[in-house]
Amino acid sequence: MIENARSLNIAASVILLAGMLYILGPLYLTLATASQSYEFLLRNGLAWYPGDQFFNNAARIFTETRIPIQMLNSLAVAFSLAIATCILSFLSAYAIVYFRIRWAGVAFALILATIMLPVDIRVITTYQVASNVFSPVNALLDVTGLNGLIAKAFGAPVQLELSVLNTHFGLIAPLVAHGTGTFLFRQFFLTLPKDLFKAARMDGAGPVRFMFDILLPLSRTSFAALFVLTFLSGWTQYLWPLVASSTPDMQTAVVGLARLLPDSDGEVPDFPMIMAGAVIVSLVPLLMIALLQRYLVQGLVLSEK
Amino acid sequence: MTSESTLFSNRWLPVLLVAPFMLLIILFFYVPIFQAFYWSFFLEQPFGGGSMFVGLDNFARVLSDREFWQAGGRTLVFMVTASSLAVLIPLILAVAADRKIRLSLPARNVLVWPKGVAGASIGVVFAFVFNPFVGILAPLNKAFPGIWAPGIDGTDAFITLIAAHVWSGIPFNFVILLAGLQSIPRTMQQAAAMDGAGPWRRIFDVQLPLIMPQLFLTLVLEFTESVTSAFALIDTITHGGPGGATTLLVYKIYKDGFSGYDLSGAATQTAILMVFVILLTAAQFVFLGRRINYER
Amino acid sequence: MKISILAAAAAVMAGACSAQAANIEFWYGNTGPVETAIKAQCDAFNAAQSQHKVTCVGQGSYEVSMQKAIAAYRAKNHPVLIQFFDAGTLDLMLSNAVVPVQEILPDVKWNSYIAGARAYYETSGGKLFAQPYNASTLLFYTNKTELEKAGVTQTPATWEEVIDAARKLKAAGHACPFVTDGDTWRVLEQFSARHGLPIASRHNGYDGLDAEYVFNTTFVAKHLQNLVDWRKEGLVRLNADTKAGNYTAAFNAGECAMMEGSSGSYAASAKAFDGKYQITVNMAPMYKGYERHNTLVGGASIYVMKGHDQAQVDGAKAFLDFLRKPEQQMAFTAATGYVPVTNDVLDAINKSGDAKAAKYATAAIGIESMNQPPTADSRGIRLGFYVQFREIFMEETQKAYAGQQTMQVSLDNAKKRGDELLRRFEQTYKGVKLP
Repeated sequence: MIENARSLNIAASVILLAGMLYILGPLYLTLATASQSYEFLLRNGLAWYPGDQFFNNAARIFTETRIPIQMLNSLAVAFSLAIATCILSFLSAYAIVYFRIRWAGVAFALILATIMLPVDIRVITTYQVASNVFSPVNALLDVTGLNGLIAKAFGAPVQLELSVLNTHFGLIAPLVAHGTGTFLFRQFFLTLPKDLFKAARMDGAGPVRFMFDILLPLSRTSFAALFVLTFLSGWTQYLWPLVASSTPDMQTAVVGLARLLPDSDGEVPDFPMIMAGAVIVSLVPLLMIALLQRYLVQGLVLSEK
Repeated sequence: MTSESTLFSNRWLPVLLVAPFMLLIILFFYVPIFQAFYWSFFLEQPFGGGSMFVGLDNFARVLSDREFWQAGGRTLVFMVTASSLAVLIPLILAVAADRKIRLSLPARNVLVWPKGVAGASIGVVFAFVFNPFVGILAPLNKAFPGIWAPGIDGTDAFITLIAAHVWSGIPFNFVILLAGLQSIPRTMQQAAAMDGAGPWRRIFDVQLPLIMPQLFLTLVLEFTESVTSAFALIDTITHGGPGGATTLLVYKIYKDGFSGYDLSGAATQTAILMVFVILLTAAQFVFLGRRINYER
Repeated sequence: MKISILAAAAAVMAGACSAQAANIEFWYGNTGPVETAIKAQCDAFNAAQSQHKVTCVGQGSYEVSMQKAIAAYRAKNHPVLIQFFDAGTLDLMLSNAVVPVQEILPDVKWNSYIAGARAYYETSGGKLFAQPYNASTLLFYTNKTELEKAGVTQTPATWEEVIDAARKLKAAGHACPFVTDGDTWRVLEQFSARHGLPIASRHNGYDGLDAEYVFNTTFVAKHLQNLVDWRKEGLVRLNADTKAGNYTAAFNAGECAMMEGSSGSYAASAKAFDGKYQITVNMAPMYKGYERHNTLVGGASIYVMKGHDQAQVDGAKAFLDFLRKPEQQMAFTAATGYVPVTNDVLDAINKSGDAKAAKYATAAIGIESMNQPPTADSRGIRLGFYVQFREIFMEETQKAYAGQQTMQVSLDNAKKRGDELLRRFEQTYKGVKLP
């Protein structure tokens, strides 16, 4: 038993208290302001104690802004992002780890490289690609001279156009192109005992059966962790949804909330309503954290290994 | 890796499994990156009317642009201060939470919550909380007018950004560092105690060295992420001001490309930034990674 | 045989009918009450006729709208009508992506457009490139109640009088006599235009792409230095100095007593003042000894994009004609505070008997301000990468207000950076002729 170190424990308690205060402080102030009225804000500024206007302000979010639709967008984006990432990462990690292929290393390196440059750095050109996903094909045809031949044969060169801007697919696709999930699953697969594989082989299991009957059930916690992490990440994305959506109805909740702050209007921003919006927009992810905290922690720890 | 007999030998199934993901990655990661480098060699007309090959002119211009270096400098300052704080503070919190005191359990729960509040929402909240007239520092301003003015003083605006960034970075780093601390076997602590090391000594001589891998990881991730993550905060709190004091490189690129329609300039800066990030990540792994002792 | 001929005839007729009718799309950037007014006009257009249908899509801001338009144009799925703001004019004129409106609507009486609005958007040959839509200009607002409390009985008309009034207000204990946000459009462009000063050589770029910024050498440099000095004296406040955080919000709340603002802010200010304060609105103040010239038109105009078939263009023309109607302009003005753009609308307002109503208060003043005698330098701005320049100007002058450097240094820096932009723009469009 380690000796009782009172001074140290007191210091630790003070530190933890300070930390919790720092975290909870802004959250409390948000809630307090969200529950006051606009007139109160104009008179007194920041609200130190809660009022009774929360449901009024919250209701105005639903009637005066596009946030409800935007929350549905956020839900769709975060959910599909998480599912897509889980599935694609699992499949690619499976292929890299369990098959005798020479290009495993190259593929893994290519996938891993995506972690280094998040979307926010490459937003300008990703936007251009999203505005016409066939532009690389067009460019390729032009450069190799194939388009010239096609033009002669058919009268016109191939110039395909498909814009995924302002679509749900476009909102998600660049975010899916991220290798953390593959990395996670690969590390996990490498920790599985090799006898597992040998036993399955001796039973005559082919690759598909192995994946479905053995690997999938074992990977449940990894799936859960990755799902939670990616969902939260998808919900809180800002720059990409900001540029990829052209209309307010396709924006995500986080972007819509930021747009509630008027740029140059004749009024003091309606902070109580905006704070109510912040509360509402954060409800879903906070709920997720509260319910699935176990998996979140596991996910964060796993990604470290 | 796994040995021969533990691998499937299908040739085409793995291709099928990886193909969709690879396609997405190529289309939405590698093509944009290639295009950024490609455009940096041209002068691109915004509406696509024509582009002129200018060789390395764009690079020469960007690299001699004072604004570019200032934005880069600010990004570096932000990286160093915000990232170290975002690792140091969770470290202190983790060491404190590792002790068996009553506050540990609730603290561990609460300190994860910021993960759910997105960057932009935090921006909105912090812009309000740090408002010089109606925020928590308002009384200070009434006593000493003008002492806290993030709308005019660039340093104050910068501080607001750092505070918001640290706030949102606490959960992730806290959880990792705490997990690292908790995986240190108690026997180590007991052995050190028996050797006469007091609790403070144990923190510095036993716990900290043993979580070097986790510390290294959080630092690396923080550095890389801080280059880009501040965008949401800048766009909601300071809009790059005042006087450009919070215009970090990522924000500058966005403004040049989307507000200024300077596609070539933005692409060139993107290319330079990408090279920098890659070099930074590589350097961190080569120089710092070697010093980490993974043995327990 | 007969059936197929009938079918073919039906198809031809249907084809012929649908070739006239079109579904057109119009992108705009405004939000708030202006957006409501725009949407109302779109609905009115659809209700007034059944041949064409317009879908109006709000993009959230002028900048976003332009950037989406650029991406859409490159991907060839852009709308036929887009609203672009004043700063983007040169980018659009050289883009080869736009059809000048005077070309597709040659029979319209374009001369009925007020001079200030025309000059901004016409080519060197006098052809109108875009149809001015929501026009605003700079006006001077005061809180008459607060001024009288401090003993100022006459609304100031010159800068000297403004500062005099500000001193009286400060002596009476007023914390914020005059407020401004230091915005480029307000303190540089509008000031230079009405004082007859050039911002850049080649008549602000109208005569060639080889223009250079000259504002750091004109009288506006003195005015900006004055603003810095007056702020130190406590007579002039910036956005960040106000409790409200925003100059119009501060004025509307009665915190600040005088401001230079867009004609578009009138509606909100009048509403906020209702019952509490009395508002005055006049033309922007001049320095003594300077002749008053026209102020520039702000806001945005509508462009017709290339790459659409005749049916779409017909629909676009119909919509543009609809928007130009005096009743439509009057309704729009009343709802938004933007200034009407054709001279006949002013007569229509006077005839309607509502001329003194608050909703038309800015119409007469705004048009008068824009109809003042012009100079070769007060037509507008024809400079490349101008949006970026506006930001640079704000950034540099903010440093001066913060005391980091003198205003002259700021202006010299802004000129240097602006010139770099102009040279790069010139290089990007090498060989392209200025329309």
